[in-house]
Amino acid sequence: MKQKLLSSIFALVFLIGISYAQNRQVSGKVTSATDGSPITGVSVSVVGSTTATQTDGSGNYSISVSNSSVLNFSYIGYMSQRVTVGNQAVINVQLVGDSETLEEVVVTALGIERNKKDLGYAATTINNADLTNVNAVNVAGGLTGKVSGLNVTGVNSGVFEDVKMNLRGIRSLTGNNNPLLVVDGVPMDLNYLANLNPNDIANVSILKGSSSASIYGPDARNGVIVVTTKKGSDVPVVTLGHSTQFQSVSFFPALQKKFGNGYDGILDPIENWSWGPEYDGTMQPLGDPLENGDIQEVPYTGTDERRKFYERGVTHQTDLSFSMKDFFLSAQDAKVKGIIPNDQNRRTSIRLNTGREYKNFDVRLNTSYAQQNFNIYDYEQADDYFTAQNIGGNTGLLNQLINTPAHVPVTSYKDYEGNVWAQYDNWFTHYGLNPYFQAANWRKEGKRQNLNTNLELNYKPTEWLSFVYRAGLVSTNRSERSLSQGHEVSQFGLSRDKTSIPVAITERNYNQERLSSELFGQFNKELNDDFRLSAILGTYVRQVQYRGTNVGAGSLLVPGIYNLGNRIGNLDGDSDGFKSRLFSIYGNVALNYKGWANVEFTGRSDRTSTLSLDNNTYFYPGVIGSIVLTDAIDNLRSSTLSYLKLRAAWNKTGNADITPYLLATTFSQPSDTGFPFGSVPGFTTGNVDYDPNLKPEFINSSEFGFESGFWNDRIRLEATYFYQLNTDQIVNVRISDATGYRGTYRNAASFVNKGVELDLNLSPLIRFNDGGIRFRANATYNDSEVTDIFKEQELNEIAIGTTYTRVGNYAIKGQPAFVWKATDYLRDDQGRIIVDPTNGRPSSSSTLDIFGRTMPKWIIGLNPSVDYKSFKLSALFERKTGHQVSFYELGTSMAWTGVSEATAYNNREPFILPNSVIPDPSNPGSYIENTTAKIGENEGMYEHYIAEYSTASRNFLVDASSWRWRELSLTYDVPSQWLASKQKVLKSLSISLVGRNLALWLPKENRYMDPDFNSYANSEDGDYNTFGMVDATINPPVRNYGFTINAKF
Amino acid sequence: MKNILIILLMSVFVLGACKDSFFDINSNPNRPTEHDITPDLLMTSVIANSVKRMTTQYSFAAFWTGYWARGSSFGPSMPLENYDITSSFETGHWSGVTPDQGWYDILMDNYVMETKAQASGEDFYVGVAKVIKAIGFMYLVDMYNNVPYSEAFQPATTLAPKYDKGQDIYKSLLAELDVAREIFGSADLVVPEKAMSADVVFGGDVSKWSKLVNTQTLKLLIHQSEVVTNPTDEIAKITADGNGFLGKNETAWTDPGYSNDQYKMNPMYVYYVRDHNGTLMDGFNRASNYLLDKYRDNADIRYQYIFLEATDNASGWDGNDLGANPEPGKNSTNESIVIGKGLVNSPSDPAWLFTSVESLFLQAEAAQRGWISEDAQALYESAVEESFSFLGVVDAQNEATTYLSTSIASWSSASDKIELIINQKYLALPGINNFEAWVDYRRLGFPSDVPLSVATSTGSRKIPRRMQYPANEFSYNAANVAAEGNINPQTNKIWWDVN
Repeated sequence: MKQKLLSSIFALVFLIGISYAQNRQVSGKVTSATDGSPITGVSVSVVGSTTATQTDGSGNYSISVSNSSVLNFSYIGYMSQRVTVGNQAVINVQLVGDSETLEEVVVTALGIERNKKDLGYAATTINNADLTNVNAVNVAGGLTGKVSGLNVTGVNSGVFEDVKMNLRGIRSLTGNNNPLLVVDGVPMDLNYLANLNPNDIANVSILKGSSSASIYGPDARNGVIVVTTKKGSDVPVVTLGHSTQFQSVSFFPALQKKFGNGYDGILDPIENWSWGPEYDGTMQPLGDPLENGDIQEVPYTGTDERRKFYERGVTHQTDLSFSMKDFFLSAQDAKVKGIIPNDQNRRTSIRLNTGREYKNFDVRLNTSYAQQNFNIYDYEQADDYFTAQNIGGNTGLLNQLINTPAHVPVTSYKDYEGNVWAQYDNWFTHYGLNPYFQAANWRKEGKRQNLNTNLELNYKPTEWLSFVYRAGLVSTNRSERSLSQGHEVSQFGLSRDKTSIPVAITERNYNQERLSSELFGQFNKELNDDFRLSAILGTYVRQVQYRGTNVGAGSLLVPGIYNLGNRIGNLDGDSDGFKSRLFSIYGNVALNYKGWANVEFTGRSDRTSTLSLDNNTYFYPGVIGSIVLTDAIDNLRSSTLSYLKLRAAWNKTGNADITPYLLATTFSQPSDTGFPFGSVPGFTTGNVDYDPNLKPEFINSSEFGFESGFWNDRIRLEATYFYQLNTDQIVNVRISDATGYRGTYRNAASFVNKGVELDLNLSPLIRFNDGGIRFRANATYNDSEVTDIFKEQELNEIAIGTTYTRVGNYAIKGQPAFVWKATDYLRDDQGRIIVDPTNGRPSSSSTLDIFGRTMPKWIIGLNPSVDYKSFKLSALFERKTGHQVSFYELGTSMAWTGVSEATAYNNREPFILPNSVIPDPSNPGSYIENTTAKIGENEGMYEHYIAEYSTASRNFLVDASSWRWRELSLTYDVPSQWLASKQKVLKSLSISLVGRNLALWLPKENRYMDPDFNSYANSEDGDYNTFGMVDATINPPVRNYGFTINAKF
Repeated sequence: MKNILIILLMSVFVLGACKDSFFDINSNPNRPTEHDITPDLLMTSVIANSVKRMTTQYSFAAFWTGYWARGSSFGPSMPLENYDITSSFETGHWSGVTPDQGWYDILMDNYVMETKAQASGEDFYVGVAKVIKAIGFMYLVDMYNNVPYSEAFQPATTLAPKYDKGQDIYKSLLAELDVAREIFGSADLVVPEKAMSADVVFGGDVSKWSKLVNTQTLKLLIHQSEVVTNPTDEIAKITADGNGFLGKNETAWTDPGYSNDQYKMNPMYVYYVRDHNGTLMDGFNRASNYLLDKYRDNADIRYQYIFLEATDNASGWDGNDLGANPEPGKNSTNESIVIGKGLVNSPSDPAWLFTSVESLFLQAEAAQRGWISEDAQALYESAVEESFSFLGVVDAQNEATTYLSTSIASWSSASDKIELIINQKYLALPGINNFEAWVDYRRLGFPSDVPLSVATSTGSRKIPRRMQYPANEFSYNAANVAAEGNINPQTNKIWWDVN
């Protein structure tokens, strides 16, 4: 009955449509200018009216027009084209590929494609070609530097290419600031990005603000990355691609190569301290004599051996895909060999996207499965070993290397079993390990599997009404084994302070399942000539379930048999799990006037399981508007100004960004306390106090912007100002330990986050025969201010994530989020360093002072490219500035052993500390310039470096500015005519030379490491928002270079 | 038809999701909360963690009082060796992460145990909680003087607890011990079944707990001896109780079930000697030459039991001077590990909460001061004898007797009996109670020849009189810690340190 009614309404509308329609039909076919293949889904519209259609599976369309009509053809990733109809009956169009067009279609919330023109908030689309320009294995790498407002930070160079992403700064002081990832309409965790094959992606839309939160819910407050995978093509196409890229170390901490091992200028062959005599090129003993009396002798000369430890990494990536109508099948194999010996990761993924239409019913199923198999050096186990040895500061592999004296021929010790001087017991120093042994002894191997599948049912009873049901499953499984190969120390080794390393194993398993079920109805109807009304009403249910187990045995009996059963002693283990649910109802009503004015209202109500039943429901509204002035105001459009749009959006977002079970303190038996001892249990109180009445936190965000085009859109400029007020932030507030707790979870903090985003596109900047030069640039300015931490306690600051006693990230009232706090030398009121008049040595303050930001104030991306005939040359540069980075752990350990460049200052001759003062003997309380007191005159030079130089952590806090050459690619497209003449099978062939992170330019004071790196980026440990804490657990930065071949059949 | 299906589907989700029960899934399935916890589950860890802290975390006191020095494999360690104490030095005593919990962490568990036990009427646990409280806060006061006490452990009302006067805390602790004495002395006391196994000290033996209560009371009184010179009332309560003090061979041993397994070893053994794989664990802490000489110069064999023979040294036992630069070519393996076979000989040995040796020395001092009526000389001599037998010295009785006749230990030839008692207490407690040596040194200045660090950066600094408050208090309890004024660990003293 209902069906009948709907059909009759449909018929009525159709008739009305006819009566308003214009006088005749025009038809044609839209193909791609590149390979002549038909393009499906191109939107064809009559300019100045609401009449529009789409091309079918073969690229054909038909639309009613009048002779004076102008048709507009637009499709994501192609330059849109306008054609005046005149008296033509057939209009065939070839679209030219282009990543950025003003008429671009943006995939927005719920996978709904919308003209960018209608949007009231900032959004950018990156198409496949731009994303895979240099074949980065991780999608995030392909987005870096291309979108204003998006800060992608590579936190380490390893086989996983770990990154951290932020859109428009932060919304949470201590919680998750990851943008939401939506793949084919299904929201999921951002970490899933690493499992996507970049070549499967049709395009990525970046919705920068929180406006889409009304549709996607609280997770979208940090912006959304909407990934749409390829759907298929009408003509069957097979693509085959291969890329080989090499990685080599591009930057290394500055080390001194003047002084060898020993102390106080005396050579000591067994020292790892480089406080010995100056290098003189003679042969000198290294290490103790062996039991048989053999002595190792090496030239006493500084070398670059330490850097050479890192090998050349190689990435082989092969892609194969087949697509036809409603069918896309792809497979990828990416094999990464890291720069640490034997580190590797292999990602293999397959995807099948398929669908079927049945009358007004459409079913789609997208499924992808990815498997990563890896084997890497496990710094965590090594860390535990060094901690147990009570020789801190030697934790990371990098630390072990840089703290090796400069004349030690590191690379000759690769064979740590065969080479007698490389063996564990015979290693030259008593205080460290052969890095090759270290890298081989502690390994982590594992498998990460991801299955993502979503089913979409689309029912469209009439032209203006549709229902979509979407069920999604994202299942993640990680299983890992941490292995220690072990070593039984010899009697000789024992006499040299060496100890046995047990054979050990820890096995871990994590499973997470995210199930979502969504149903929404979509209404979209012209009310009359001028107004179009669209509305969405929907509901969303999500359940996340997690289970983690780890079991280990600290000492295994038979070496090489990594089985928990092959152990002595007890098993050590723990398990954990959670379940959370979210239910939402949301709605959206939009009114469009004459195609150039838009106003939209949104609202959403969430209910979450993570808050108490009294506080778990919250509602948040929004309003969005935009107007295209060049359409609205007659005569505004000119040959100079081709396009001008203004937009504004305001919305509120509620969220409870806490993990489940954060409403009551728990008790546990931490395994390292030994409990339970057999049948004797022993529990201890958790360190965190909880507020059972936690409320959701809210974000009020506004944005204003314009989009403009000049000289026929040859210059395009887009700008957005955003302002976000974050209140009731749930933070784990540090409290006095005398409360029995470290902290308490409260709705406490608030802060403002604001900024400006600019996108400039000069396309083409210069046009010449057979080509042109394009230039794109984007810039982001981001600032923030903490307005409250915890008023109730008059607490004005909190430490963020992992901090050292002497340096860390802090959120401090009145300061930007976040700032550094660090210890400094004691200074007089003019900022000069106060030193002791007897020995010239400064002293470090015992309290921490506030220094600069941890996050960049400015991020700039520059993207010039040149096309000439079949060649395309493109580059990408990125600038970040306005922040600082701390190399405290790295710097102090290099100072301790005397290997850093700084420790060779003044050739280790006594010196007057620059800018130092001594107390004025004739005028107590004031200071005079120090011209006499020299450091190192009465004592070993190292005394200064291992003491106050190291404890004043400001010595290692440096400007984090950088210029990076992110990408370079030179592509040659074999001309299609030439291909066609040779054989018909190959449709297109392109060959590229690519490079990533080719160069890194740093300020003079940064003598340490890539300032983007971060040893504490692991969100599992609550370090969501830690920036710039670099220790030796990271690898030095690398540059990538190689080639890519892509062929279509 | 399809529409009906969709509407049905939709209503299932909407209705299903609207029920409270759909969202009521937020009770933690992984760990118990305060609602589920019982006092017995906390008591074992409270005791074991207290013991671990007392026996393994006071190396700094051993360094400062001349017991220990740094092993030659290690570079200089500041400020341990130059006494330049700041708020970042040894903050773990205040609070620390597992497995090395700080006193406020342990006392928090203790507080929960006490309140849960009071609620359930299980007085036995209340008594134990009071003893642990008196021990823990004594350590805190002896390190920091004024500390949060009356407002501690109340996060619901006080996130920044105020500091109480050290003297007031001592008074309150003595009162708490009075309550414990009454509990353990009560004829009505029922020891819960579970407490028998959870009491890893005395297995639920209340008369032994009474002795510990009395001994801990005496210890507090001795610590404040220079301020409250004649604590008649307190002594009268002990006398009235009748259980007396921990005597010969009555060490309060603690053993939750130590074994040679990872994390389950005797804490001192794994901290200072070897781990479960037999790997030597500690190259940093080594015997001091000063202390070794004190034994050797007086034919006192005890050093061979207190310290381990160096793994790689012809002369057997060797040490270092505090703050000295390592001799070239010398390693930690050439020097003596600080926990010898007379202290802890195996990973499954029990640890001690309170030793008979220390108890007897406390009694000797109390007798010499005239607080208790026993004979001071007899108590002193039995304390020295107990030291020899505690260490398992071969032929302990004879060795002790011989030793007691030497000039350094003879009662009759000593002009200052208190000094004699303290000097011998000092020689009896290395590794057993390093902290008490620092307390006695500050209280009375004995031994009078404890050497200062020879590190060049020591300057004019002396052995610190107290610890600086930890940095976290300056950050998170700023107003209250500021009210204590500027603390200088060189000049500011604990309230009982008046000399």
